[in-house]
Amino acid sequence: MSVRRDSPTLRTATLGGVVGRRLAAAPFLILAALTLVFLMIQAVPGEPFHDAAGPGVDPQALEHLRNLFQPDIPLGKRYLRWLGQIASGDLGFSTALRRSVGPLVLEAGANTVRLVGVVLVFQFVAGVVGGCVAAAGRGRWIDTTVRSASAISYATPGFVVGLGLIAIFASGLGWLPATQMESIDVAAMSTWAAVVDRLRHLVMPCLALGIPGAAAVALYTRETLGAVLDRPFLQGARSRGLGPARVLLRHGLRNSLLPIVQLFGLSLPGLVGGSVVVETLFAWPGMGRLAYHAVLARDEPLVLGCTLLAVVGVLLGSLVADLLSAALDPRIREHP
Amino acid sequence: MRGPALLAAAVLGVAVAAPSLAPLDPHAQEDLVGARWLAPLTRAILVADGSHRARVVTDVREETGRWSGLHAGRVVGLDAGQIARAETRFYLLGTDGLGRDVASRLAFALRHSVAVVTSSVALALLVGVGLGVAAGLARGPWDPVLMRLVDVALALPRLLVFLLLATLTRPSLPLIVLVLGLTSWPPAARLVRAGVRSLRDGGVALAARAGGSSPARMALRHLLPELWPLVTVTAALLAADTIVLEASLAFLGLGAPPPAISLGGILAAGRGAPAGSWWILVWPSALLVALVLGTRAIAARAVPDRAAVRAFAIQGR
Repeated sequence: MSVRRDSPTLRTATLGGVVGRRLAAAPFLILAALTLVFLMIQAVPGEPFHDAAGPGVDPQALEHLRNLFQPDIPLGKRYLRWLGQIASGDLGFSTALRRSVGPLVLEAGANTVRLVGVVLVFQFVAGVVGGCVAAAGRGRWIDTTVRSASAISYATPGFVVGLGLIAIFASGLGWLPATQMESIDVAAMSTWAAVVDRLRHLVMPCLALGIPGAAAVALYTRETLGAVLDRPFLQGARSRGLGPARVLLRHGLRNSLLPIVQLFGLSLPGLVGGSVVVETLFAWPGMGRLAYHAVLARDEPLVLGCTLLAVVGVLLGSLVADLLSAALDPRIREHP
Repeated sequence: MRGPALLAAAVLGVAVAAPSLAPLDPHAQEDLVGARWLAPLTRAILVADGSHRARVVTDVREETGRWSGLHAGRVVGLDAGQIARAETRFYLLGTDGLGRDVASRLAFALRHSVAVVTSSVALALLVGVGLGVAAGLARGPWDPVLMRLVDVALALPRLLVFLLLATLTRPSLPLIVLVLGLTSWPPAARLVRAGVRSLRDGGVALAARAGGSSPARMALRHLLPELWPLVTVTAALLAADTIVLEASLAFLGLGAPPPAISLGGILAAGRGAPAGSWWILVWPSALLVALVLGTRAIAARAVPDRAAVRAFAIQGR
């Protein structure tokens, strides 16, 4: 059998075509992710939900779950039934909170999106700026400082950053609130005061979740930018008399932006996972905290709902990142 | 290579020798009242007298023939006989809220971390290398199918998957190892697959095939050894991520159940510390950061090409 090689396509793929193809593939990816979650539940040793019964557990909800996952029905049938339920938007009924899982998860998910959205902006802005500063001062003290600080921050788990921030800025200095998304009396505040109040609540969770990621982006930017800066076309730009800032930002950064955009998609699962710990630490009423409390209450439908929404959210986010990089780089359009 | 290798040796040494290195029993709550939140470098004595429970007394001093000391903030008198029978205690890194020695607990937490991380990384490598080799050698539809599976598995937030599994069963040490291992193989599979692809039509593979090797033998005896540096780097990076994940789980109280001591668990217990007892947060945090930093440094030194590290980037945290 001969070796197959990728033959370069002559036809230029349009961006619209790429968007269409990716969007068409998205449902299959989501289906695959759901299947993986289903298989994992099946792989857990012992009968699922066997010790979920007890005082405070709704027997009806338990029955509902047992029906879904009962081991005596063939695997394929169980799988289809489970998918059917999800497709019809029925995520079950939370045994601990006694509410339908769907609205609960969406409500908390919106709060997580608020946190993760701010964190994404923070980590990419701070990271790219840090990386540019280090790359501009290559080989000098500023480079070493930024790189070692980033390596240390990148190695620090978010909850450790959070514990440190709480110890310093909440318990120690009392400058920032350590829990919740807003003060209890936020409704009574003026619009301006309410905005400030929400921002003050956002600072520490955002830093805790974003600092390790920002450090990773800084290291990454420093490395890709450093590699680009040595390329001949930049020497050409310099010899044409362009200023250092213009060379770095206009010619260097633009050419190293692509891998950074790809990092955006790769960092999403970690951010969503990290939000569980950080939201729990800061009592941020998001999906991670909801999932955590659902685990403590052994509220399976709710945990399942959170996991599903997180998986779907991460896949959609990765899709956005893919499309962004396809928009930035025509080569990706041709060889997806 | 020397720095990281020395560090790895030191960590492994402490992990293996934790029971004999730890100055005190990490579970011993010798005196709940007197020994809690003692600062690092505190010297104390353990006074065991018949009528009382054992007391940990600090600041023992003698003035004009009378012995006295501090017990839970109060001055207590001691007689010479008690002093003579007392055991000495030295809390190098301080004590926690239950009067346990932090240094001893850290030694055992390190042991726990190393055990969990090495076994789950071994599991992840087994699965990841296996699938990577299979996908790399496969021609036809199997390769794309396996790689899409890897894509999807990479998109799963590992912590949430773990929460799901923790709800369905009770968290236990084997479950944690199993889940950490079974959720961290995708990057390994992807890197190994790329490596096998680059080698499978090269001279080594051709020679092996010409010598009559079966595909399995060719992969294991001839291609994998070529990929050894890549596998080492992957293992180190996986280990760094797994250390963080294990600590996060333990911090949430979903780690291995109590007799196990984890860095995350120590940090969680330190949240109730009174203001000023910095040591309960600082030491375990520093150890955690040093572990992750050291593991990544090993990866960076052993790296065959920087692209492998870049490919790994920040996924899987």
